[in-house]
Amino acid sequence: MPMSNLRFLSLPILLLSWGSSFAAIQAGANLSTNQVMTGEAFVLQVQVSDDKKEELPWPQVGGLEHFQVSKNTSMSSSSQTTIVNGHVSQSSAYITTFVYTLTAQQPGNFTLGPIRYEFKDFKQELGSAAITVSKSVAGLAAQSFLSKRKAYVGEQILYTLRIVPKEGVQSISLPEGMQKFIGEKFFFEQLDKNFTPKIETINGQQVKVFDAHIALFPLLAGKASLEGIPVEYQVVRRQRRGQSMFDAFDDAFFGGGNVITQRAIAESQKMEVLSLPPGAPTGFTGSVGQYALSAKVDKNAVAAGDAITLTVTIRGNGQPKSMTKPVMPDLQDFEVFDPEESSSSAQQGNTQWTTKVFKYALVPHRQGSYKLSQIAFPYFDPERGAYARAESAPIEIQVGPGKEENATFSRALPQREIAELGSDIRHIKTDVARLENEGDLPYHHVWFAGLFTLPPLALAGALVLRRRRDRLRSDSAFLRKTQAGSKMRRRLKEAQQALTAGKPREFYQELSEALIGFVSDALNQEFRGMTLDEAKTALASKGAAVGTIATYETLMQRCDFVRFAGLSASALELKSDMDSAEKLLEQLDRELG
Amino acid sequence: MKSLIALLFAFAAITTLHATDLSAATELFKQGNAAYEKGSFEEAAAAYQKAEDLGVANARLYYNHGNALFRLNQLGPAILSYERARKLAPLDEDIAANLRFAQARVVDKIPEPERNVLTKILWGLHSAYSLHTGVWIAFGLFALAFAGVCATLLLATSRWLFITLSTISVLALLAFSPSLFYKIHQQESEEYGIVLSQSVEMYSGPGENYQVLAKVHEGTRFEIVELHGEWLSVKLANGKGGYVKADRLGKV
Repeated sequence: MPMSNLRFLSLPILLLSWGSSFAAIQAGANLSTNQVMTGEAFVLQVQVSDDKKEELPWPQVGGLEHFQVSKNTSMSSSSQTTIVNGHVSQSSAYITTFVYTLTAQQPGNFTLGPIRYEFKDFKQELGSAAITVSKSVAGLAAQSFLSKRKAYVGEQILYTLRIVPKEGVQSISLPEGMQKFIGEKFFFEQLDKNFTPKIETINGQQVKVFDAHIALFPLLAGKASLEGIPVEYQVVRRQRRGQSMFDAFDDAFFGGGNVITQRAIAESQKMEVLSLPPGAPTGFTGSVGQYALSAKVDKNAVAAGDAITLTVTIRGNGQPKSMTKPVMPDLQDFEVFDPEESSSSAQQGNTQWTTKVFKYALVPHRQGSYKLSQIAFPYFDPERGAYARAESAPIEIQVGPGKEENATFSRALPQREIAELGSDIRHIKTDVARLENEGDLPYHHVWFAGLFTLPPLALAGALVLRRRRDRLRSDSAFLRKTQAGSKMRRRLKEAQQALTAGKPREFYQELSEALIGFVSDALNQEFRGMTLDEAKTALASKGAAVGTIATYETLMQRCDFVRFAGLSASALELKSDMDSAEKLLEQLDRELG
Repeated sequence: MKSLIALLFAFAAITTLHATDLSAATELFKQGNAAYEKGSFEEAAAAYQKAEDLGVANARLYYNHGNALFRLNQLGPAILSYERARKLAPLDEDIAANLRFAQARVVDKIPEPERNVLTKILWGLHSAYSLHTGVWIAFGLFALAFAGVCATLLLATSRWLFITLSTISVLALLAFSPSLFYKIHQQESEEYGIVLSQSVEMYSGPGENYQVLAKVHEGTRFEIVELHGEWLSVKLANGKGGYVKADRLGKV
């Protein structure tokens, strides 16, 4: 609120000149205006000067109860230098401003004051002011109408809030939280979400009006009153300061006016709410108004166990919350699942109509012909003053043979799952000879980690095997040495066969071949054709033990004696030589390694 | 040597005890089946429960238990048993069908986040095997990769065939590993719970003095995030989370 347009009327002004007097504390007050309209804000300022910087208390102001008040405070300072007879002195003043922003709620004449300021030893009466508050009819008129003064509990009543704005009015809005104005005795739905102006003829004049429609549903019987709903708007007030060359610019278009937010309140309304008569039918849930019900099925012929979708639609103008599920007939041979609900509202004329759709899944248990009738919605008809039932036309359903057993849950069900419900759970599993513990996971065991080491070990083995094979191919000495053992064992076997057959010459022949062949292969040196001394030297040079060499010599000599000198040998000697040869070969294998 | 013998005896004892449990569980399972066939669902459910109490986790056992509970109109416990069965045998059509059938009766229909086609395919593949099977598949591929290399080293013919086999096995193992490790992570870290009571309130904090966020009904599945004393921090399939009392849920 600008302070340029201050009017100091009956309020005594004590706005003191700080330079004329330098008492410790001084106080004064001013008022922005003393003629306002309801909803218009004006300002009272109390200024207190102190020579010390200290926190000052608020003044005492009477008559504030007639206004809506918001308060704030501010502090400023000033200093002054004085020269008297060549003597220079300097003083400071700290000015605290107490600001009251006041808004008149009701029209009438009020007194603002007395205004008093007290602090320590300082006391001062600052006077009082007469305020004239006029009704803010100049900018906008708000009127209210009820379609009925007498209605039943739950019946829809139309409340119309007519707003007639005048020139310069802008930004009309209804308050947030309408419920607090309408009260707890009514449930309401605002029908017109947006204001649309229309032209009406009022008192012979065509004027622009805005109608806001609200559907009210009384909740309690008895006398009920609706408080006036406040309408907020803004209006531009021109400021006239006398004729001057600048008057042409003193217009809102050029920013020369003030935009004032004001509030107009429609008059309150009273009505009588009638209670519903006794004798409500079964299934009545408080719906009052006009209602219609229709029902249909998605198919009229099904097999037992298959699901049918029954759609029941209820339309009415009563309170939406009272529109609950319809009363269903006793469907003994059907399993009825809780319905899926949907709701929508539409405005037709100045009446709100609510449509609720209930989709039931019905699963017939038995084969046969059925008639679904008496799907009903009980309500109270206020026009007839009696209870009524909206009923569906009968629906015929043919149920063919099918699976009868069904599960027995009753739950809300989306349409897409109805197919699932048409069947039953699958049977238990009995094809088990012995249960396995499938929850015992292999990676929790050490052996499983061990199992993972097998493939790398196999790879290592394959690498070794491959290397050996390559060496056997390329290294003949290694090949002979590798095969020496097996060759020797084959010959010893043949010697054994000769021994068993009682053929000493052949026995010693094989024994001799086994000995010579083995050392030849093991040392990769041809022993055939060597003298015994040369063979002994060769064995010694390869690290054979003296005892081993001696045994070799003895055995070779015995072989030669039998083969070439015709020396005979007993079976016991043959066996002994066989054993000696086997031991010798084992020793040679170790020592020639 | 003595300690080795003692260890072998201990192992043999454990193995024998385990085998006894399995035999007892099998016997209870058969008793449950017989009771179910007669229509004594309470008796059947009790026998299956005893078999489970022996520590045996078996898809068929859970499945049959789920059926018995379903017949007793215990929707939440039935779904819990089916979920446990599905975890062990994700490809079993009977388990999937009965789980779907039971879930259709759950009051709360919580939409799962939409997946694109690629994610759907990958998720389908991931869900198509059990962890038990997955572990053996991984081992099979691992062994096959090494077997291919070994054969290449040792055999003179068809080397390219074995190299190809080995390479394919390695690639398959690499492709399979993320899914398997995620499955192991799911097994070891992720926990799910099913509402067992008729309804349960989901609070904004671990206590009844917190704000009630939602009322969730029997059979609804939660992901268990954390345990806070008697309360569980949980998350629904649509991502909304809160706290519920731990004793109202059954862990899958």
